[in-house]
Amino acid sequence: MKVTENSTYRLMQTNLDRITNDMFTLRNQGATGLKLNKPSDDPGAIRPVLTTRTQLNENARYLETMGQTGDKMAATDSHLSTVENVMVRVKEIAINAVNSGMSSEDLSTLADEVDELKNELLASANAMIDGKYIFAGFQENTKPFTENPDYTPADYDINDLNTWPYLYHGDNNPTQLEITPGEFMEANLTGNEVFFGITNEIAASGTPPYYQGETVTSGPLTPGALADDVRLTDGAAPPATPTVIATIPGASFAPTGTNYAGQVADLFNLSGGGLLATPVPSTVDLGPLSLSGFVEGAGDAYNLDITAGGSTISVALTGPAANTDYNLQGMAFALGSSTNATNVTATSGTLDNGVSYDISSGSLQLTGPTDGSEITLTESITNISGTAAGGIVGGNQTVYGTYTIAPNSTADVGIDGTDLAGIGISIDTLNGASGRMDLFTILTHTSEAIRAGNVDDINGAGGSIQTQIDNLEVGANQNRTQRSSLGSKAARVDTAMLHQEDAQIDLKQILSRYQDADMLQVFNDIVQKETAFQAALNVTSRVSEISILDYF
Amino acid sequence: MAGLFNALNAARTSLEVNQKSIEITGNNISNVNTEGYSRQEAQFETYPAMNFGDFFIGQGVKITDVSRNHDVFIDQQIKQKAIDFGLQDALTRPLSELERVFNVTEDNLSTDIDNFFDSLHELSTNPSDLVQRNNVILQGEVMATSFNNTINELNNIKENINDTLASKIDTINSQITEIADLNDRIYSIEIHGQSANSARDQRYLVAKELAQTIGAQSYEDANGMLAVVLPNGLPLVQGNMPMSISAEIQGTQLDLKLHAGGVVRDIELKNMGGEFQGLVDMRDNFIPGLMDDLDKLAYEVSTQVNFQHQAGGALDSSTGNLFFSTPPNFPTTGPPYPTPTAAEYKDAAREMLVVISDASKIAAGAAPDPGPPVGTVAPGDNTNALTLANIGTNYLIGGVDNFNSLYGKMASRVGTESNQNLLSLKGAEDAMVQLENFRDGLVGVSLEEEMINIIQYQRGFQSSAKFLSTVDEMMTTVLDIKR
Repeated sequence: MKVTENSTYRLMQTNLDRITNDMFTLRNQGATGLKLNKPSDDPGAIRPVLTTRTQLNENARYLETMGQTGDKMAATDSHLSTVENVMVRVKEIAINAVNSGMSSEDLSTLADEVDELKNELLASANAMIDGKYIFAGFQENTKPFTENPDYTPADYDINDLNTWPYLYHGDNNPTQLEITPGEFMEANLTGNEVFFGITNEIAASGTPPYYQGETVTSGPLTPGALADDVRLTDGAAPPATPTVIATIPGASFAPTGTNYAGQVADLFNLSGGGLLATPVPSTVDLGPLSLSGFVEGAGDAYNLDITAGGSTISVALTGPAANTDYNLQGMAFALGSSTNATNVTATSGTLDNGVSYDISSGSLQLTGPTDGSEITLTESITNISGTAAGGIVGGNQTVYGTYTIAPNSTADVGIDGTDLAGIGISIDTLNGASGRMDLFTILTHTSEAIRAGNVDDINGAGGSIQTQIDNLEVGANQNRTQRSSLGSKAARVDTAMLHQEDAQIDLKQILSRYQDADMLQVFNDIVQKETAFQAALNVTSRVSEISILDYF
Repeated sequence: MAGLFNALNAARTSLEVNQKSIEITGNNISNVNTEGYSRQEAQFETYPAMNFGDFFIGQGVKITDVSRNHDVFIDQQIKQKAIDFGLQDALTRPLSELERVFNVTEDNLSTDIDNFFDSLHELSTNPSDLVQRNNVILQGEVMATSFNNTINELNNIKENINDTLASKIDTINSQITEIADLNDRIYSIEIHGQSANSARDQRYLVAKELAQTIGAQSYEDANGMLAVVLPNGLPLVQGNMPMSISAEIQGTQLDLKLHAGGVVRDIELKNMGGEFQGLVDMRDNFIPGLMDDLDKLAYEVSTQVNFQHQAGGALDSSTGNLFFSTPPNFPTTGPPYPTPTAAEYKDAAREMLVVISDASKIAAGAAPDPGPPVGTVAPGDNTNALTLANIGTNYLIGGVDNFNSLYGKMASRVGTESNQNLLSLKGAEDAMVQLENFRDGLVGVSLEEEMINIIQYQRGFQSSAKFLSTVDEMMTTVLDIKR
């Protein structure tokens, strides 16, 4: 073996190339400060880096959203504080009007002052931030409160919004903002809650009574007559033997049609016991439909009949070829393809008989029609291969809807009876609505009562100053409740902001660990490589120094 | 006198031989930097001795052959390694292009996706603001363009690979012909008992290049001819018969064909090696895999955003508006839609487009009450914007990846492949250098060796000349005997 010049130079060349390449990489790292410059630098780090960057982006967005939310809340609070001042001042005026023997001119002056304060209240109710009404729900471009031109004190009906002194043109939707991943917060208050005292839920139903009491939802129903009657009692302060307001005979709870829950709700509504009942759709979880041993070629099929409100929808799973495979996806496809199915997506939809289905949770979930009708399920298996088995959890069954009941007024209502479990409720006292009133009505009535000098005639003008003084306190409390709930939300935003800021630092740390170069290490490596490069150059130059030609 | 004349003749041969040897050494030195050159050496032999009475006397020296140092084993090794080296070397350029396309800096497709969903998040805080609505459209367009560009870049890389393949075919064909010609020449020279040294060096060099480009394997037959075949045995050179390769271009597809004695055969991926194997594998498998995933991503983003967008209500109370164009192969039957497959995903990235142009048509709010009476969408309604904004993180493609993770997967695949390639290339390079050095050690030209040989032959020449002059003196002496 000999070592030729060519070998030597080739070796030198290869090594110099390699060192310069390494130096290039290191210098790039040093210059950019990043060790992850292209995917091949660390393929394993790409996914965490991208995910962390997304999270950082979102984090910044959440912080900005929360900042805006906080600003809005602060502005809202200042308007609520004005409302508070108005309520306190009106109460002072009203007390003043009761206590002193005043002339009608004096009373009229006081009433004028109340009217002025009412206008101040109106200005707060129509307050704007960023050119948008804050108490108008989603209708941010619509002036939420206007004076009702058709208002006459005589026609005032608490159950008819059109007879109230002021009209609300906004809606009942508070703006939800996402302040942390998955956490939504209502960033504003709606005018109906703050000024009318009508909760968003009641406003959504759009029907009176607007001041509904505590709501109870029944458990599952067991159809059949009750041995004992159901008694509805005056539950304000339960004495040993409460006063029975209404009685529903136990025998009337026997089902006679296709909508048992609806019937029960109707019995409560018609009983005259001061309760308002609403049917709730039935729901059932039928499991993951574990079908096994079905053979498509053999003609095996799984059939399911879904009956609600007297209308039956039948579906059959006949195998993968028809997209109706023997599994949940096949079932969703079959249900979605049934006659007149609506709102169909890959995993959910609504059938023609009002039953909606959803398989997204990994099991077949059915929800009955909105009127509370029961769902009757009948399954059958066409088993030609002899191996087909499985089906819905619980087999053939009927699922009943439920209902909610709530006092229809400010009065408390008690429910009494021995067989109440049969209709899904227990002995209970439901609180009537309290603490919620229309501030504009109070102020209008106060002004009317003062102007008329009506101190304590409940049926007189403005319902008497005395009554309105009580109402003013209730109204002020309503405002305080709203204010404190806003305050606790603002506090939540503050802590969430702190938390997100911490999270941001953590995320940046994680990102840095994956993508930032350790500068000390890099500079160290550069020095090392430079030394190696110098050495290699040195060696290369020495190779050319020694030549056999020098010896001839 | 006859003896002296013989001695004169012997001295003449010695002069000639040493002079020739110096010429050969000089040739070696001249070719010290010639690639593939194998060191040549003169083979000496004495002239047959003549019988002088009772003993034999030599008649001088002659050169029987100028032979070439070579080692079949190491030559084959180098050709084999050249195949590996070619494969890895060819992958490097498309891969570095791919790394640029799927970059991990702050400005890539995943950032565009993030920005789009972020713009929806921003809209949710201020749903009636037309500026922010326009921003959503803008970000959507940026993202769609990014998808279009990425898929186009992938296509360009594929086309560049085709161009590279096409440009190499001419060279390969001329190399195939060259080997056939050299086979012929070597045969006709060596049949007369001479060594075709330079032709053989040349042939080795060309065969090595063919191994590197197309993975050709070669071996020598009994006649000294080099047979060259593709990895699965398709012949490229048989004796002095060259075959040829042609490229058939159909649209954007380029197929290689082998013309062997009137028969045309397809050259498939499994029939190739070296650079061609690397390039074709990249073009037909790796890049299409990435394109499929990109289409899948574009399809899922467009359809999921569209589904939710259609479910919401716009500022002008319209509903069912599309945000992105429906992917070209979206199923025509349904809902419900079967789980999409590769056929549905196809071309989604290329065709991705924002179809909404009127900012007020963006469905930030819930769908209006279908009525009757038909409801309207409140300007402050942000419910659908919130749901849309959360698709980016909450929706999982096939229940596994969200949009960014899928992009991350693609980028890691490119990264892993490229990383692997760098390592393999380094390994193949090392092996090549080592083998070349080994070959040089055996058959290469060492200046030291040649210089020493020069001295040796020079001395030989000098002493022969001295001998000649001595014989001449002797002859003069003999001639002076008679005056």
